[in-house]
Amino acid sequence: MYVSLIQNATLLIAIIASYELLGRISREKSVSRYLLIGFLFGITAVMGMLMPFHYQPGIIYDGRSIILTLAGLFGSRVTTLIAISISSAFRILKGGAGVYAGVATIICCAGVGALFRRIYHRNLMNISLPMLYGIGIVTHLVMLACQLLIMPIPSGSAIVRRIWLPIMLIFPPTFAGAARLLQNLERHLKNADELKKWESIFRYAGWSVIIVESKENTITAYNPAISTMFGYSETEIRGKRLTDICGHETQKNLDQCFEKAEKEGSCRFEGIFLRKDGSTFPADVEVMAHRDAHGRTLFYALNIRDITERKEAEAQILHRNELLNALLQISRKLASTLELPQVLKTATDSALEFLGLQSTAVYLLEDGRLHLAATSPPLPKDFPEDLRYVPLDEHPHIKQALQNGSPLLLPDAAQAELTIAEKQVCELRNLRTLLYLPLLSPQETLGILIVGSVGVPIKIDETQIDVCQTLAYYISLSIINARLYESIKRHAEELEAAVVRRTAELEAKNRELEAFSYSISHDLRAPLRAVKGFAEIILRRHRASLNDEAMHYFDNILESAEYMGQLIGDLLNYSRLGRGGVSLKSFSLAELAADLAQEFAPSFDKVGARLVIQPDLPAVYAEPILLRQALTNLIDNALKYRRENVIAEVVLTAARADQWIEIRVSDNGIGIAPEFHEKIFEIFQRLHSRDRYGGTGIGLAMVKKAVGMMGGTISVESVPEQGSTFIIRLPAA
Amino acid sequence: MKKKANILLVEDDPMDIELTLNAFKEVRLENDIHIVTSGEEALDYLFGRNRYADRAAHPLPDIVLLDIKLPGLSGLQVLQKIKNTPVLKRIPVIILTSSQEESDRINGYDFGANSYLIKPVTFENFLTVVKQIYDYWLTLNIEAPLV
Repeated sequence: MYVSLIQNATLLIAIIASYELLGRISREKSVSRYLLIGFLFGITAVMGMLMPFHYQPGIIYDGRSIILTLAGLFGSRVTTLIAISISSAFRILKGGAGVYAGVATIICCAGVGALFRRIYHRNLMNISLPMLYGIGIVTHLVMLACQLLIMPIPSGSAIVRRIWLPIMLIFPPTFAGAARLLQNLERHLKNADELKKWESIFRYAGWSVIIVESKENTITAYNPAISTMFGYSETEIRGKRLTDICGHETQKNLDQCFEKAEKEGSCRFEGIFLRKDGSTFPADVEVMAHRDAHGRTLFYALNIRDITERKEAEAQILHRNELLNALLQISRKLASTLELPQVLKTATDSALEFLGLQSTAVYLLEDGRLHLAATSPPLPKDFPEDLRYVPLDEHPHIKQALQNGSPLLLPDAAQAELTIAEKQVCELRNLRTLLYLPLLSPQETLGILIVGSVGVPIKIDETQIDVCQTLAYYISLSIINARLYESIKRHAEELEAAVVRRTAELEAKNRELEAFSYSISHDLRAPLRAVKGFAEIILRRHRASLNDEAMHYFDNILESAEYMGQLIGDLLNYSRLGRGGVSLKSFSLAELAADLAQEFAPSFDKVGARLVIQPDLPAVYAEPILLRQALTNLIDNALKYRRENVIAEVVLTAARADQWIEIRVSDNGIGIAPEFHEKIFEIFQRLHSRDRYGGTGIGLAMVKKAVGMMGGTISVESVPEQGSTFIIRLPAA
Repeated sequence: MKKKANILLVEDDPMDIELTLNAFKEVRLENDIHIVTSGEEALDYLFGRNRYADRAAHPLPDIVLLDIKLPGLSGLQVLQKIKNTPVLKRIPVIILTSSQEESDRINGYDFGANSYLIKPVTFENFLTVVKQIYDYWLTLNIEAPLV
């Protein structure tokens, strides 16, 4: 019995292998596939039933319980139903005593399988071996229970009692083994699918991948991008080694990178690689070491990226940077001078150096004519004079560049159509490639910068033209600056000349004025002296023969002459005030006041007036003679305009107020009506008749002039019939 | 009593001449006053040229009263000439002028004037000045030998 059961179970497992075959035919999830698998399970169950263990006629045991549980567990609903139908039909066909129990077994086992399929749902592949064993026990216990229920009691229970141990010993482990086999099959098929996906990715990836087992071995795997990159056909590349496609200088990098990848897992480097045709290209390579569970390297994957474009872009940026740097140097050089000839020389010289060319020229537009302003190298002495001027109609290239306001490149003068004048210039200077760069300011065209190669044509790229345009811009700015500077300089010179002229005029006027005041002092005094002298002589010698009237008139003559003498004297003093120059210095006001007090003492004593001087007068910053004159006049006035029957008192004080020193001369005299507070400082301004208060009307004008010359101001505060205060404000030192 | 002094008055203004003469007359001094009215004439007199060739009639003066502002040669130029001429340089020259200009005063003394006086405005003062000139220069002062 055991032998039969084991035979049966083994056969089942062998047949299950055909499942894999089926899996290979089709992996689609379609109804037809489910049907096919259902048939397979059904047929397998039938095969088991054909090699059964006969308990007694009609009652047979075979592996169908295992097959149908597997069908329920791994198959879809369709598969399970097909398997049930086929095996049930066969069992019914076979007939015998155990038909019902046999069919029940089929349905129960499929049911248990389907139940566990529900429980594990999508996790079927991961059911562990003990769990599968458990499922085997459950399904066979259910099966034995069915036998007990369906078969007649005595015989059924007798059968079950006899059969349960072999069944439970053999079938559950067999189920577990068969189920594990199916799991593995399924897993294997899934892995194959995954591998196919990765292969596709590998095949169609944008970058190139090579797989080698070691650095020295031939290339074993690669993707099509590699053949495109290296110019080999897909088959040609297979026999190559890494060393064959790697530039000579890159070998060392490759060695180092493999060592590093061996140690650290991956490494990256940039190197030069060789194509089949011998040309080279730069590439970025990432080497990845793939290891097995024991850490042994299985193979290296190289991810190679062609970085030609990146390198070119880098080189271009570098080149541009160099140009810009050179440009910066030139702009500094240009900015270092403001003289136009120097600017032009720097411009032409540096443009040569900048572009590595042999000839440059700057033409400037002046008075509507374009003329040659500077060249580098300098022009030969015999350069035709008429070529220094450029009529635009004879030079269409220059004209075009100026009209467009943008650079114009003439790749080769020898190949181009030129006018006679253009040809003449080109041949004289042996020019070939020419670049015309207009010099512009926001408002106008300044001229044009022309750079050229001598003897041979050269290539000038967009970047160079671009940067040259900036150079032209800098040169334009420098020309504008130089011109501005020139005009400022010219204006300054003109201004200076004008100042010299005006100064001379003023000095002449001043001399004239001096001569005038000299005349006044001399010429006006002479007749005055005569008038006075002879009047006196008459009075001295002929007094006896004059009557009272004549005497009175003579007195009038003398008095008027006296007044005129006073007027002339004051006027002269006024005009001479500060003629010696004003040099301010710090000195003691107290000392000056003491001097004045002494000087005025007789006059004050004479009328019984008092002069009060503040004891601690501060130092002042002034011209001593001018200040003395001003104070003298003020004290003089204070004494003169005193009130009758009041003891006159004149007070001199001084104090600092902000940035000023205020000197006050106060009196208790007749005062001044407010409407005259400003008028009194005008020359010849008098407020009283001469017979009441003498004077020429020059005193306060003199004070004002003197204070003004020291950078100060004069003002008055006064109440009529109470007194006046004159305030001199001088800047503090 | 001192001998009669010879005074050379160089003055173009007739009024001033008359005032000066009056002043001398008033103080009653014994003088011979010789009057010239321009710088050129003054030099002619001093050098004994042209109409002043007769030294007896026009003797060298004991003092020269010199105005600055003169037609033609100025007083200062005449002064320079006198002081640069050996036979004349020791004759005292008194500048009598109405100019108070600093430059005139400085130049006057620099060129060798012996005194610088301002013409007084009043006749009374004029008398004082004339008297003092006489007392000082013609009486008190011991003159140097001319040559």
